[in-house]
Amino acid sequence: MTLAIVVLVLLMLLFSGLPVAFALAGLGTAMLMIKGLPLIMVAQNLHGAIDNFILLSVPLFLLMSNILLKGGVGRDLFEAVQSWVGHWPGGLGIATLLSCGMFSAISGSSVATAATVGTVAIPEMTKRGYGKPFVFGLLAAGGTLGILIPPSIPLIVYGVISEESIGKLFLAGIGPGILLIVLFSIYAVINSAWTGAYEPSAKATWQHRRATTLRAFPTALLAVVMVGGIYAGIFTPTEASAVGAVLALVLTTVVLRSLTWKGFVEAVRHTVSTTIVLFLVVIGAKIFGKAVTLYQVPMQVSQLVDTHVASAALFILIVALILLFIGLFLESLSMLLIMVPVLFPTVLALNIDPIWFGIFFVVLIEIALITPPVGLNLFVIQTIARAPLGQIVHGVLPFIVLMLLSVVLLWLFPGIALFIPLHL
Amino acid sequence: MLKALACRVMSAVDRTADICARAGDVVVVLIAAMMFYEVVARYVFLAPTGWSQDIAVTAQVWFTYFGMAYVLRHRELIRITAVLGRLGPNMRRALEAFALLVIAAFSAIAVWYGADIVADSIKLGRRQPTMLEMPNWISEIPVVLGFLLLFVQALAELVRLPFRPAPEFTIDGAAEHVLDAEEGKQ
Repeated sequence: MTLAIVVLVLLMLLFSGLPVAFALAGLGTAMLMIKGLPLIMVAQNLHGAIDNFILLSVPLFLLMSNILLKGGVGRDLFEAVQSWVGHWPGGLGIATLLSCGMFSAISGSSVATAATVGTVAIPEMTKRGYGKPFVFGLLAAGGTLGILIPPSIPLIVYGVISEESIGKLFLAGIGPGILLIVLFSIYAVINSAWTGAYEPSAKATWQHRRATTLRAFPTALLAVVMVGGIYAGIFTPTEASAVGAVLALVLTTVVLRSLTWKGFVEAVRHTVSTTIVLFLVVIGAKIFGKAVTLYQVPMQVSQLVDTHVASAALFILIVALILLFIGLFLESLSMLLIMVPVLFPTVLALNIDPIWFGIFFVVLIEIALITPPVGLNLFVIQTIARAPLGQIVHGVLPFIVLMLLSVVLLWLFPGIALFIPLHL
Repeated sequence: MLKALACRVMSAVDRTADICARAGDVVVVLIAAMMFYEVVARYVFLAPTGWSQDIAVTAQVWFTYFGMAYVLRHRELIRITAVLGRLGPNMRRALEAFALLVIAAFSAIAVWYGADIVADSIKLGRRQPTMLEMPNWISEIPVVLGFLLLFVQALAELVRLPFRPAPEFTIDGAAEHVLDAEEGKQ
């Protein structure tokens, strides 16, 4: 009963347009007041909410990503990959996906990935005659790789909530990220061959390939330095984010000379605003989480699952359906911060690997990013392409099916996520 | 006369929010520099600092809480606009007023009880259990001051609400920001 009332009130507050952070904080505070608990608990949680070394990596990864975005490295990556695969059937689609994958490896944000690669790839692909819905769908879905392939801000937040190793979560994101690139690429080739709606690019000369690859190489190296450094124990994820930010600055100012002072200032300002907005949701979720724990909501969910759900498979199916539904309306980080504290005790009780669950959760968040009415990447592509939302939604549907297929594959073959963190 | 005074107060409130956010820009750059220096100090000078982690985390708390008023003023807070965007201007205005009242009420609670904690920390001489053993109040006071700024900003926005066109709700602010930058480059 308590669970139903809490969910209902929270949904009402969220749909009233109350900012998510204050819907969570306000409801949490009201719950404490109703139970007659001292409100000093609110202030105590405010003091401890972001006083966290791991969370420090969020602004620093954002800073790195924004510097690279302003430095225009998306174009370099795209041109390099295009010079190798652009002449294949559907080659520009593959080049776009590989660029998304590579940019994801230096960015923890799906919006930055979709915007960076989309700005370069959309005009190029539409000029070559690729169908617009296909191009828009490809970019919206490809952009979501930003939060799966390390570094990933949702995985950092999941790691903080669940107290799992950020390094292992990062490594676990690599396999499913590659799986999605492969599935999307296969679709891109089949779609292009089937419709024939593209004009093949001319095969690039070796000289051009060498020049574009050399220009993109330092950016790719940046990804290797960061993830490799964390894996080798050279630095913590937070230190990796700082190293990444400084190297991104050196890369775009000294090596590529593509970042202006104005661009740098904008990158920093955007980093500060985005961090504050994200951390406010973390703060709100902390107070809400405290209240629901005192109301024993996670325990009620656990008992409900114990009584009615016989297996881990059924639990995962139910969670997937719930996440798909709330993902239609809720923003990604809020999904994570509201649902994980409630579900996590049950995940452990059912012996589901918490690292695997984190990846499963993030893939479902990726789907939420491209499902209307609240799909952030749809709006990103809409603004870049100045296209009707309906056209983008139409183009994204096959990619949603492929992402659902990847969830099924992830369940059937958990090694897709767990092989790298367990065997490296 | 009264109107001129009100305008001056509002403008001071906005300016304070902007200054705090711009100070946050400098703090973020310093955090990146500090954490990078920690890696350099460990591997190049073979002498880890022992202070960078504590100061960086405290700086994070400061810039986050002091920047809240700025993100409220610029309507960058994450919210679900699927329903809100479809409502008429009067309803949008009413729900915006409700949101600002909730923010102001929560901020007041945070300031009131947060100040108690700061006062206790100073009185009892509480210190963090870290290498630097910084006094607790250093990382507690931004909560009080930040929510005080947010409280004042929420009231200012509430006063302005009837005199402005009804708020428009389209897409997430963060997305718009990235896209503005991208459009600037084209």
